[in-house]
Amino acid sequence: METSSRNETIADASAAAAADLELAIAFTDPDRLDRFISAICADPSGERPAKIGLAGAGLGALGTWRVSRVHFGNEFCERLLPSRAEFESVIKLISAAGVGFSLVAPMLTDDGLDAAQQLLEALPDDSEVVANDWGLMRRVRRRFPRLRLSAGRLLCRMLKEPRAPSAQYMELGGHGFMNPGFEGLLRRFGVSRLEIDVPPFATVEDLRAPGHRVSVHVPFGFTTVGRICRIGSLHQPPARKFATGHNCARECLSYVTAMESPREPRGSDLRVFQRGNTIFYRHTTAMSAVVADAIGAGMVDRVIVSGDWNEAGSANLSA
Amino acid sequence: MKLVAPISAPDDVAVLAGAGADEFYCGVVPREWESRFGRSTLNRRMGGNLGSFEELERAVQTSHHLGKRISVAVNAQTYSNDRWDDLLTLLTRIGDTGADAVIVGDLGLLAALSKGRPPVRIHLSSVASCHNSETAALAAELGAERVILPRQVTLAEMERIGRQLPGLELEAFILNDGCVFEEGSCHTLHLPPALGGPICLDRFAYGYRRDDGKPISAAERERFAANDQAYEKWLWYTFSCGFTVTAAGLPHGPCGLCAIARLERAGLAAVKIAGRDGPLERRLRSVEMVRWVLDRAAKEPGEEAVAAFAQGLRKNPQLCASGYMCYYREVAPSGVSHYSAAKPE
Repeated sequence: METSSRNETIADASAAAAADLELAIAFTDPDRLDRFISAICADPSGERPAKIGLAGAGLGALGTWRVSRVHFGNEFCERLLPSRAEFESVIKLISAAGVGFSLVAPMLTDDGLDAAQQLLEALPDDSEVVANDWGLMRRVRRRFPRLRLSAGRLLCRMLKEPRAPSAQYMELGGHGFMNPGFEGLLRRFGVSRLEIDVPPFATVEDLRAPGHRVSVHVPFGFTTVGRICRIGSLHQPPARKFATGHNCARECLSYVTAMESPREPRGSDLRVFQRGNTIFYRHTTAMSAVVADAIGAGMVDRVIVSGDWNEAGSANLSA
Repeated sequence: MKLVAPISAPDDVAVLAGAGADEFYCGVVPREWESRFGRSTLNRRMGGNLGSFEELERAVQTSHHLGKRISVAVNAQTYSNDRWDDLLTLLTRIGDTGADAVIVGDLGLLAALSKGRPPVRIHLSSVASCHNSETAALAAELGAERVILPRQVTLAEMERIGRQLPGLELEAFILNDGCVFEEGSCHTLHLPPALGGPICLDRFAYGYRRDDGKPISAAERERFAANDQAYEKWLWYTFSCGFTVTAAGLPHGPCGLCAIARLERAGLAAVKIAGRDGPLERRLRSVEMVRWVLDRAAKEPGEEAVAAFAQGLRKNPQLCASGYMCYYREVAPSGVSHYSAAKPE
């Protein structure tokens, strides 16, 4: 689908589903959130799509919607959990902006769970917690029944190989968020919302999850993450680099790693980049069209736009 | 502490048992599954699987004859709904062979098995990404009797999980096969070499940009270059030092032998040799190495002495000295102290 017609589709989808649809923006860094929240949560203007990175993603029409929610936190590294004081400031900031708030947390160690618990304690009743760790799900349900749980995209597993040469490869690893076992876990923890990525060669059916509210991340999907961090080792002495549990200086907040393929470009290759410990791919126009179609079909009721910790960085937000 | 070894053929059981293995694990991909869903969809391995339930029965019989247990990996990250019924049928067939346990990588599958009467013991695979005691407790509630901890769990983290859940068996990686990323959250394929191979080994050209849009300084460029150089070195170690062995055939590559005494002290139930699809010779030498260190730890009380013994086995001290070959850098000669979350250095 060409960009202009896709934007029309998104605009149509917006009109059709306006009452139920949320546009959320995701931030990892409290300082960047502080700097940009006013502009981002202001009434939409002609300039805003570029500022939240949607125009370049071929999703410019989404930028005409009002941002109604901020997702704060990082899905991929517990070293990016904010302190309790930072977090309380963020809650005030978002509340003052008059938008909804979701706390996002990554896969966690026990130390990370302890740190996350400090944040959970600061959350108002009925706040949404996006968990990417089953242990956090259990902790929240046992100790914080007043909070709502969503399953983050690390838990909604599916094959997402950005170098796959054809759709046939993707059939090797279809998602499992409709199998009875996963459904049972979601029921156990009272989870009603799933966050999912758009896989390469996606069809609308890949975003269908009957019985659940579905959030979709745009315009980037993640393909792999680990606890060993290349950029996070930058300031470590050689013997401490690339070890599980190494320290870092949160270099991932300052640098983006571009990854250029060594092969002749194939039509199917997605553009990839690394941020911190995570490799992401950028959606193609065809993948954006799938998001638009899923919105139009009422299958997706929240679109989460990456605000920072992405390919463009905050330079994009201040453009 | 049991030594768990991988087999890829029924006859491997006797060979590896003779070298000191206490337990075995394997994959089985029957032809009917392969023809419907593909070979790698059941347990993520294209090679190294038994090809039929008959082969599995032979492996089980030999194991039991030797008084040892055998587990079967059914550890894809997840299973799509169209595979679900076949999967449950397959698990029943595995139970019918007399296998002692299945290793599951999807907590959803574990939850489903907990609803009925599982045909065998259940072990939670490292693919399930259990990094904390809450997840381990959930696994135990759902019926898992053992949790295999991912490679990227530190010794201190294992010890804490063990303290929280003393009744739950824990198993840790001890030798072979590194992963750059977290197995349970790596949603890529190990593509054929012409298509790039594993994404962590694909020869991407890396370039750096500042988030704030400012140009990279000369000092930053220099630091990136040094870090990239160290990363390439670490990758070489992580992928078994170029898949090399010592003159005596002992495998190089990811290794936790120095930590054996500490793992024993932490009460771990088992240590695991990775590499179902590796050659038998490599697996045999691996079992021998681990057995030597386990036996030494049984006789020698000091953790440092056991570590020194382990480091001497390959007669190549500089490999150990780098620390890049270690699963558990905390006990490497160079050491990495445990950190606290959310405290940047």
